[in-house]
Amino acid sequence: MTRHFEIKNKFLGVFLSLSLALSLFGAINAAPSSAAVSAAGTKCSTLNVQDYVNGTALVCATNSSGAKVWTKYFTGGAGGTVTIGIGALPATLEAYAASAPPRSYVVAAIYSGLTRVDLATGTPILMPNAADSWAQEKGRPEVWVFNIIKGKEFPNGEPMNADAVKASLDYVMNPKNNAGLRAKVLDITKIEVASEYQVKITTSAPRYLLPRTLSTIPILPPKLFAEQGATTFWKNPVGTGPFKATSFTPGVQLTLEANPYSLRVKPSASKIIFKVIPEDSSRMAALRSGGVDVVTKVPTDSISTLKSANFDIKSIVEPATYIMSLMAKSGALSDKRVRQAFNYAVDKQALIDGINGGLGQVAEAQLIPKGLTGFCNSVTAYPFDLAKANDLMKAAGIPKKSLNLTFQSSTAYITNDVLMAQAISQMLEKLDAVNSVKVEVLEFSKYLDVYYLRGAIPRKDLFAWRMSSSPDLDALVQMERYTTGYPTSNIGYSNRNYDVAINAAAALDVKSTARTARLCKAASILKEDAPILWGIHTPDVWAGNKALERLAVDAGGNIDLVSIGNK
Amino acid sequence: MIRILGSRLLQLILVVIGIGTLLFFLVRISGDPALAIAGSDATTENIASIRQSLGLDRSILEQYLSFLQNLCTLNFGDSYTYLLPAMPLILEALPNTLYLSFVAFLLAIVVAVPAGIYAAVKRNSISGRVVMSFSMLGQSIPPFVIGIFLILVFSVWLRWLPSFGNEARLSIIMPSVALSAVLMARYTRLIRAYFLEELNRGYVRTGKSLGFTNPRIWFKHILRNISVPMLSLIGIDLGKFVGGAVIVEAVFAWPGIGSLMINAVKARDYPLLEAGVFAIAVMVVLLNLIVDLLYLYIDPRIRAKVN
Repeated sequence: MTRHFEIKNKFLGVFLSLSLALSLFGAINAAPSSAAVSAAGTKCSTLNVQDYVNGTALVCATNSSGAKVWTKYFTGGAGGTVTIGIGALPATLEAYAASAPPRSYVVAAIYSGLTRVDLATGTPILMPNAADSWAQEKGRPEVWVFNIIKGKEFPNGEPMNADAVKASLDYVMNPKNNAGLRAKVLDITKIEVASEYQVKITTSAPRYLLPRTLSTIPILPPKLFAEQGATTFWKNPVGTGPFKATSFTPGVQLTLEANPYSLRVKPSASKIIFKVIPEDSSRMAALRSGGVDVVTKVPTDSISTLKSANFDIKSIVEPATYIMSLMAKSGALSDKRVRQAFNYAVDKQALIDGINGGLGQVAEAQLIPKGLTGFCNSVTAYPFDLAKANDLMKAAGIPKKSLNLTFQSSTAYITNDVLMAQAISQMLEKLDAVNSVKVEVLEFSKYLDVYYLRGAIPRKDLFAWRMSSSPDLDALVQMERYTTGYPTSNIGYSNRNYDVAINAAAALDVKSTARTARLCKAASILKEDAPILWGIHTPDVWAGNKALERLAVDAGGNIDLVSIGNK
Repeated sequence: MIRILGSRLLQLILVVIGIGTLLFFLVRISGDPALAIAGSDATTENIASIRQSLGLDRSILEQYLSFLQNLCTLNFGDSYTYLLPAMPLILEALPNTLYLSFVAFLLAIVVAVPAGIYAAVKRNSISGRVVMSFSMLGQSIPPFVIGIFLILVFSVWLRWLPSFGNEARLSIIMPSVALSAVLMARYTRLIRAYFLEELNRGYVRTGKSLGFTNPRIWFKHILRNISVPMLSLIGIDLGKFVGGAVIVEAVFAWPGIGSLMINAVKARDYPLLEAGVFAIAVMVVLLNLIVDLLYLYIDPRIRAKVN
């Protein structure tokens, strides 16, 4: 199936249905622009998927008779003001610093990338944004052609066109600019303006995830950006996202109002206010007192209180995996049986039930949650089996009570990180061969030093971290971290067969079965070698008052700012 | 007077240079800010480039000399995280912290003085003991616990007061009560103790024998006498008070320098940290100067000594 499509194509309906269906199996790079098929009241197929039609957000929802139909929640602005209590906001409105929440709330609201990833179903579905369509050039899979939306302009009057796309990508790729997102586009080798509304992007090798990655890189007005310089521009940015920032006090508040220059949609709420309330209990109190309509990062112990007070709770499984790298360079952990034993000794479900209030998901022995591309159904989690774990330790010749281990953990960086570290260390101490597991809690800057293997503190036996799949939402990027010589995973693990499988997968189309097979092979090797102690996919919990018309959080942990509103 | 002002000014300069130097080396020992800025997905090249752009690739001596130069011109450079000049960021948030601290301090004095006197005069009564019990309670509970308790009662249950921010006029009430509680309790106990001591002095007996009323003896004579040691304590407490404000600001999402400083520590934002600590140091030294001047005003013996 070609990935290229035109909005007015008479076969669009058929094409779109096929694309949408395919996307749900996790293998799509192009998806519908919808104008021709989606209209309020007409049937839709996938619940929660959102489409932007003639400036209105339509959401696939169940109607009173149980049918799935495109549902319009509000006409633009009718949702009034929505106030969101948030633990932290980015310190600037910079577009190119990072792509994960909370930065992504701001970036997706103010700016537009070439594409937009709809994650409402848990599976990435690619939608048009600054680009109407995109395709790989015939016979040259390393070249992507993007057709830019026509007749749109930035608030300062500059046109949204291929020049703007090129200038924006050039800026990100220039190492002098220190753009955090540069790491995501390192393999782009050339950006050509083919015509006013067409841009060609070449990568060093076929890169099937490129349209997905480009959803996170905003297109900015090139002249204004060059005139003002980045620092000045970020203070008062202009973009073509659904909102414009009308006031911003770093660390205190961000006010967004509907942007008349929005490329695709007019949001339901006329105003969204983010209020920074760092203290968890204060944030929950702000919701309960009516000071805010929605809160982020609901602590596990507050969920039942909020539920009983009749608040709406939204919990998602983050596209991130809580794992522990095992230092396999020397000592007992260099024996894979010991590493396997550790995996058998940890009761992951207990971490979910006991620490995370029943929320989250046990991680299979893989680096991404189910639903994302590259997930392998045949590679499952190590079951909790203490007897088997002890047998493996015995087989590895580890004497009783001989192991004294250190577990390095962050604090307040990953949901319930310290509690999980303590619980896991206690579980490991139940192994006959383990005498003690000392939890070493690292302040964030020290934690980063250990992560980068640059500080005075070395990485020790177990190092817990949160492996995020954002923005690619695919297994490959994460699995590459365990290939031989990867800079920040220097734990002494190396397996040539694993490297071969990963390299082979990297060169294949994201939807090809051959790629999935290679990723599955690599996942099996990784599970067998167990350089990781797999934990859980962490939960991300939001709460809102019942007066909200639509409170939705996607699998990437992003709140749907476009269709939320007060009734 | 001029000598006192001159010596305090000199002290201010020395304190600022001393604190600045200590801070300069401490934050650099804590690690590399380029790592915190770059995030977990950055390349090594990216990190190196950030270090270069921040001037962190220079020798520590070069960095220190440049820091001292900046200190003289009050230019601490741009915040690494906010990408804005550090000092204006601090100066924008400082009035909120000062407002909160001032109201809390005033509240502590306004409540503690009558409560302490009452507890001293009625030391054997039930009401006097109740006052002391409350003061013990206030001194034992950390401000953030008091803050959360106040939020639950007055925002969540009664819905009388806003639970966060400083937008409404009533927003100041709960943070200032939470911040002042410990000080209020401490001063109540101290005023009571000093007051009891003074009650047994000869000048009190003389006043009574001359037919002075109790309020006249208490407020005109005893209070004036105990205000000198109280002022010494206040001077010491002022520094701690700013530290307490940082915690209370976090609980009530009060937009003062507290959240800025916490974020600066987390991100190893050297310029912001240096500007913030500089501002706090100046504030504390200036407040101590005011306390010194108040000594002169209150106590003629000190005034005579200075003259």
